[in-house]
Amino acid sequence: MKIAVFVKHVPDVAEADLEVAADGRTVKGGELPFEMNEWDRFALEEAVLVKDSLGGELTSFLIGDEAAEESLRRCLAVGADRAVRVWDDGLAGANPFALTAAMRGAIGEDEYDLILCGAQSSDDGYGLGGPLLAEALGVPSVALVNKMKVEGGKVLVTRELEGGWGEEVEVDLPALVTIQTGINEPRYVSILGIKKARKKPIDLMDAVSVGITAERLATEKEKLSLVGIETPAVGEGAEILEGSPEEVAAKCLALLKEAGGVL
Amino acid sequence: MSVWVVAEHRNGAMREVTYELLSHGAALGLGPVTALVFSGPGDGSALAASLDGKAPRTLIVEDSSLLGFNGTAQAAALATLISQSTEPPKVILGAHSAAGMDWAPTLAGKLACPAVTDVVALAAEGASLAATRVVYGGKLNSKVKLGEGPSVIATIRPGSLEEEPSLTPMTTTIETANADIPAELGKRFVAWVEELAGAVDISQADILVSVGRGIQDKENIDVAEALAEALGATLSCSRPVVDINWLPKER
Amino acid sequence: MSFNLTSEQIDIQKAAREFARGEFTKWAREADEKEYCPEVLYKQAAELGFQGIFFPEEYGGAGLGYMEFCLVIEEFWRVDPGLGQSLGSVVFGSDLLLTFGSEEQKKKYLPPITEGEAIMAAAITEADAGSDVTAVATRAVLDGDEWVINGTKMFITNGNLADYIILYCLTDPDNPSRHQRHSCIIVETDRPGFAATKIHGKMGIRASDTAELSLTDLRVPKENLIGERGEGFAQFMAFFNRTRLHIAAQGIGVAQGALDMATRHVKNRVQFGRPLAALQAVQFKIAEMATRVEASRSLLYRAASLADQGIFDHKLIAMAKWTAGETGVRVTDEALQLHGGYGYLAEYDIERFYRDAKIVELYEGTKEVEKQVIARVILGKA
Repeated sequence: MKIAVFVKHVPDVAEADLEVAADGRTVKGGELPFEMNEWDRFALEEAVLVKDSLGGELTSFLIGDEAAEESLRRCLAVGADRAVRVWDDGLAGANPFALTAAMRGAIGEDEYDLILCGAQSSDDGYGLGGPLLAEALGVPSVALVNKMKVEGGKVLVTRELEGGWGEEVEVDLPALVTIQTGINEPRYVSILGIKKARKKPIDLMDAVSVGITAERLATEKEKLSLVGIETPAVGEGAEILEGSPEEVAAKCLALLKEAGGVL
Repeated sequence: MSVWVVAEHRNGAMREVTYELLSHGAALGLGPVTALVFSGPGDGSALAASLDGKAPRTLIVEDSSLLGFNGTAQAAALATLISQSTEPPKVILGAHSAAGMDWAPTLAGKLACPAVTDVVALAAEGASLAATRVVYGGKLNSKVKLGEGPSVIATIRPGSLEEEPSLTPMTTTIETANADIPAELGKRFVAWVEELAGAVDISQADILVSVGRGIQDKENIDVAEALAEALGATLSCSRPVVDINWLPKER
Repeated sequence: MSFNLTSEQIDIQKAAREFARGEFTKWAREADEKEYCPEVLYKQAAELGFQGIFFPEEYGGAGLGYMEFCLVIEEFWRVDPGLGQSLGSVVFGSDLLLTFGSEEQKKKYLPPITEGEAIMAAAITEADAGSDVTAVATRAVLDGDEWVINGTKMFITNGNLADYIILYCLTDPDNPSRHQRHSCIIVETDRPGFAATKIHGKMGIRASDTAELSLTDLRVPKENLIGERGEGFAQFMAFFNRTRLHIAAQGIGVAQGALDMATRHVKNRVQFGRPLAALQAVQFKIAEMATRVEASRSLLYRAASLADQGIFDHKLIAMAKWTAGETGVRVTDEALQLHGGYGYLAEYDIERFYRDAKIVELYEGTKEVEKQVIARVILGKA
C-alpha cells in the first residue's frame, strides 16, 4: 500500500484576537502560534492506522516555508516514512488552485493507492484542495469522511451529512479521501517518535522541481484572488452576562423575553 | 447569461437550502435561473414538482449512478451539460453542504474554472463575482474575487440569506436531459445511514442554544440544556464538543 | 551562544503540552480534591516516553538532557501542578542513582521506571531534620551482609507509591565530620519493616502523594549502598544541584499557567464598560508578570543547558530555583487578584494554582537555603 497524506501548517486562532495588517489583506502574525491544521491531524492518524493495519509506505507532503516543517516532523514522529516539503516564494498566500498545482507536481510520476487530506483547513476553509487534486490525478475522490475501511482494492467510507444522517459510499483505489474531524483519536507524539523523526528524510522541492512555471502560477492565482479581509462589525451593545451558570441562564432568559419574539 | 442552481435533496425530499439558493441566484441579476435536479431513475419529477413556480426552468437529469448522492457522478453530469450547452451558465450555484463539498470542487477540477466555497454573500462584479466569506473560525471576514470563467462555481453557506427566500411566483418549464454519465466512475453510493433515530436537524431549528469549547466541563452542558428547554430551543454545539463525545454529532 | 530551542526541543515541548492539555484537564479538579493521581496518567506518560527522558538509552531512557526534562515539567505544571508533580516525580531519586550508582544498580532500578513499571522516591527529611540534613537520625547498621535500618522519615513524595526509595541514613555517627556520617541506601518498599502512612491535607499539589515512613528493623543487602559509605551528604548536595533544575521548571510552569489564565480573564471580563485589559493598571500588572516569567525562564534555561554540558553551577542553579519559586508565588497571587472574587472560588483553576505554587519555595531547599548557597559562593564562608 502506498499512502500519501497532505498536511498544512496554520495559525491557531482559537484564543487569539485577530488583527488585520496595514495591507488590509493579511492577519498580523506576531505572536500567533502555528499548528498542524486540525482536520489534517485526523487525516494523518487515519493514514497511520491504514499503514499499521495493511503495511506499506506513508509519505507526508506539505506546502509551506521552513517554519511549517514542524508539521512534517509531526508526521514523521507519528509514523510517516518520509516527508516532502514544497516551497517557493510565489506560493506565499496562494489560493487552493495554485496549491493544488504544486501538490500535483510534488506527487509527480509516483502512484499512490490512497491519498488522504483534511476536509478543509481552519484558516480559509475552502475545502477545495482534496477533490481538485483528485481531478488533477484522474482518481475518484470522496469528501468529508468520518469512517473508512480499506479492503480488497476499495475503500468503503461513511460520509457525514447534515441532521444526523450519513451515507455509505464505495470507492475504487487508487482514490483520494478527505477526512472530517472526529473520525479517530489522533495519537499524542511520543518522545521516541520525535527521536526517530530526526533520522527520516525531509525532501525539499521548489517550483521548478514540481514543474510549475510562473505563467501557470499566475493562471491559477487568477481564478480566485483575495480583495481584503476585515474584522466583522461588532453588534451594538454586546453585553457579557456574569454570574453562576444558573444566574446567567436566568438573565439570558429575561433579556430574550424582553426583546420579544421568544416564548 | 444564465445561472444554474444545483438542487439539494435527500432521501426523496427537497432540502430547504435549495430555495435559498434559488433566491440567491435570482438576486445575482446574471440572467434566468435554471434549477437542476439530479436523481435516480424515476425520482426526478416528484423532486422537480417541489420547485414548481420558483424557477423559470427546471432541468431533470436521471441516471442510476445518481441514486442517493454521488458527487463524482453529479460533477461528471454537470460538466457534460455545460459542454453541451450553446451558452454555458455564467454561474453554477450550490450549497456549502456535505454534498456541495463533494461535487463542487470536483466540478471545478473538471472544468478548470474559478470556484469559491462557503460564501455568505455573493454579488456580480465586473465580468465575474465577488464573494464574502467567513474565515479563521468566524473571527474575520474576507472578500474574494473570482476569475472570469466562462463559468464559475460558488457554494453558499445554508442560512446565510438575510431574509426568508422570496421568489416571485412564476411558471416553471420542466425539461429532462441526458448527461451521458460514464458507466464506471470508480465510486458508488451504497446506502443512507440514519445514524440516530429521531435525529435533530439543527439547520431547521428556529432558536439554537449553542455550546462551544468554552463550556469546559461536560456537566456544564446540563445548564445549556436547561436554558434550551426553557426557551423551547434546540441545543447545538461546535465541532470540538462533538469530537470529545460530549454531545452527538447531529447537534 | 544560542537562545533558541532546537527543533527537537520545540517538538518535545509541544508533545508535553498536548499530552497535558489533552489529559490533565479532565482530572485536575478531582485529583486535587481527592488527593490522588489516576493510574492511567502514569501509564500514558511512560508509554509516551516522558519518564526517564534524561536517562541514557542503555537504561531505557531517551538519552536527552535536563533541558528537555525541564521543558516537559514546565508544560506539565502549566496545565496542572498537582498532576505535573505526580508524573514528574516518578523519577525522583534517579539523578542520584545515575550519578553515583553502580552499573548493576542502574541496570536494575532505572529501566522499570521508563517502562511505567516502577515509581521511585528519595527520603531525607525527618521530623527534626529539615533544612539541616546533617541532623538526620534514621540509623543504618551493618549486620553481616545486611543493613539494618530503623527510623522515621517525613514529607516523603511518593512514599506510598514508590517501589524503591533512596534512603538517607546515619551510618557513621562517630565520624568527626558532620558531612561524612551519612550514606544513601536503596530500599525496596516490599521488604518487611517498611511502613508508609499517607499525609492528608496538603495545601497544594494535592494530587501528588506524600507520606510519613516508618522503618523498623528493615533489612536490605549490603550491595544496596549507593557509592561509598559516608558520602551521603556529598551525594545529596550533588543530587539537589540536579533536582533544583526540575523544581525551577515547576515554578515557571505554574507561573506561566497562571499568566495564561489571567490574560484570558482580563481580556474577557468587562467592568466599567471595558475589558479589564483596557485599564493601564491591569496592563502594567500583566507586563510585570510576563517579564518575571521570562526572566526566571532565562535563568533556568541557562543553568540547565550548562548542566547538560556537564557544568553544574550551583550558584546559578540556586538562583534559578529561588527566582522560579518566587515567580510562581507572585504571579499566581497577581493572577488571582486580577480574577477578583471569582479567583477565590474553587470553580476557577487559579485558586488551585495559587495553593500549588507555594511548595516551590519550600521543597528541595527552602528559598532561604537557596539564598545561603548563593551568598556562600559570593562571600565565601564569612
